Amino acid sequence: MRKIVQCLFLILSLQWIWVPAPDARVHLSFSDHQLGPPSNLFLHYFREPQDFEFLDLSPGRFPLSAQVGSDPEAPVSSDLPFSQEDQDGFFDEDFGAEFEKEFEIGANSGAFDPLSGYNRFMTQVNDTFYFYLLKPIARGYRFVFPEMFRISISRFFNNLLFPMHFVNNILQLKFKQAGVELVRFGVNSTVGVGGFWDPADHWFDLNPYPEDFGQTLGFYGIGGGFHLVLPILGPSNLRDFIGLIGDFYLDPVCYIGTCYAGYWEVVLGIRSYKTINYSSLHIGEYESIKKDALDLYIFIRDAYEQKREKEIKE
Amino acid sequence: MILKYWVYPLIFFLFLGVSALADDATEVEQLIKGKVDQVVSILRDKSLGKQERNEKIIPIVNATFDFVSMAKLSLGKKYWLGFSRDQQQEFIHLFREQLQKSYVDKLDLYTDEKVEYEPAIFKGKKGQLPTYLISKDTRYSMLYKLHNLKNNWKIYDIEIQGVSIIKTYRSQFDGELRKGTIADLLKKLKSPEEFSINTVKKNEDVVK
Repeated sequence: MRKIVQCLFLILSLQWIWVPAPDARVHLSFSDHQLGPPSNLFLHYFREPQDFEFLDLSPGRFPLSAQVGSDPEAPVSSDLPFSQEDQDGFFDEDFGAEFEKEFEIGANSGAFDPLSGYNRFMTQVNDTFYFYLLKPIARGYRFVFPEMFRISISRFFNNLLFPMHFVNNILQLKFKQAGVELVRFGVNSTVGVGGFWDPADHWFDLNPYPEDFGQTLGFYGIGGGFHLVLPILGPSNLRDFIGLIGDFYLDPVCYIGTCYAGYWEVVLGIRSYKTINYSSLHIGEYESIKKDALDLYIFIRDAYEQKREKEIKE
Repeated sequence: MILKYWVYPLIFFLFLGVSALADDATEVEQLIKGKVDQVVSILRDKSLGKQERNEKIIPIVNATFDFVSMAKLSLGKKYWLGFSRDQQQEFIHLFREQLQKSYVDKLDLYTDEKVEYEPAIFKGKKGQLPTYLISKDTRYSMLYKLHNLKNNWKIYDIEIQGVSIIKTYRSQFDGELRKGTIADLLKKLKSPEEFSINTVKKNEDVVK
């Protein structure tokens, strides 16, 4: 019995050695590839990692190595086996189909975009606004004030968003989260000296649950509607634009204006300051997003819709 | 007595099943934690120049990401099968370079952020590891999505604040391929300076 099993194993292991080899040879003669080092190509045609333990995979062993010198990053990528043996078969496999489903472009991601012309234009306007006005100011501001100070200011403004977070958590029946927000506001306003510090997070590990009115609308099944780029405020959609109006009235900053009629400049000033302070802490993020984008508008639109979808789901 | 014959194997297999699952979870967590720690320790080493730093980090990235699957997924079945074999090869190559560049660029933004990990979640052959990047005033959620490729766990997508890298690339490639040909897209990937509407300050140095 044992002998038979041993024989079977021997035959099987021999198969592994012999079966892929001719295949590999055929493909190695395939010359105009643009990929990494030959070891990659070679690995590509085997099925399991353990199958080539017996092989010496050092670069230069295979005749193609001369061709790949053009890629400066090639040598370091030799530990990346070019995975699926059959390039075209990937999507036919079960998990290929499963993947395909996972990344289907959803109905929410811009198939319906009637304002795309205006949106593109406004994206460009906001871009110019950022680079020629907001960023220089934020940089100057950052130069003058230390980071700790700017973070405290940012916390202070976030603390003032408590009414918005609280009300929207309640509206979405997330009572536990509303409770956390309530405790956070209580602790941070007192122990945290008016919200300039965040002991709720640092001591009690209570993270905020920022919910806004747009999310509440989404929670009750209202779709995003068409995408809409707002001047200065950036990407939004119909639902979130309506939500913004609700949020505006839950922001205490807004009431300075109503308490002292005619002081809208003060509100505008405070809001501008908040934006500058925020930007000073996030210089470089927009730039780095922009670098990645093939089409900036599509990129931002899609990222925005995906982000909102996730926020609503949570 | 009869019990003995089937109970023990049952217990054995149950145990095997549970431990296999637990192994996957710890394996994925250890893998990502290990790689993140490696990258962070390189970033903290101020003696390294930018070039040196990137040279050290790129191999780590290459070993962890499944760029081939990522390239395919970012095009989707519809377009991928329309590419000739040469075009597919070229696309994988260009896409990989683009992702590496973009990853390395992001590292310039690193300023001592901490990473928090949550337990990994598994769905079939795929695993997800939720993490949080704690920065100055924001908590960024980062979800690593991995699949088991020949007994190695490899990343096939990352979601940052719910935004999937693959999805954003997919809709952009979709847009490009509706407007132009495959050759146009490949050309555009080759010369990133010609990207999109933004000629203004495209190459402005990030941050400082």
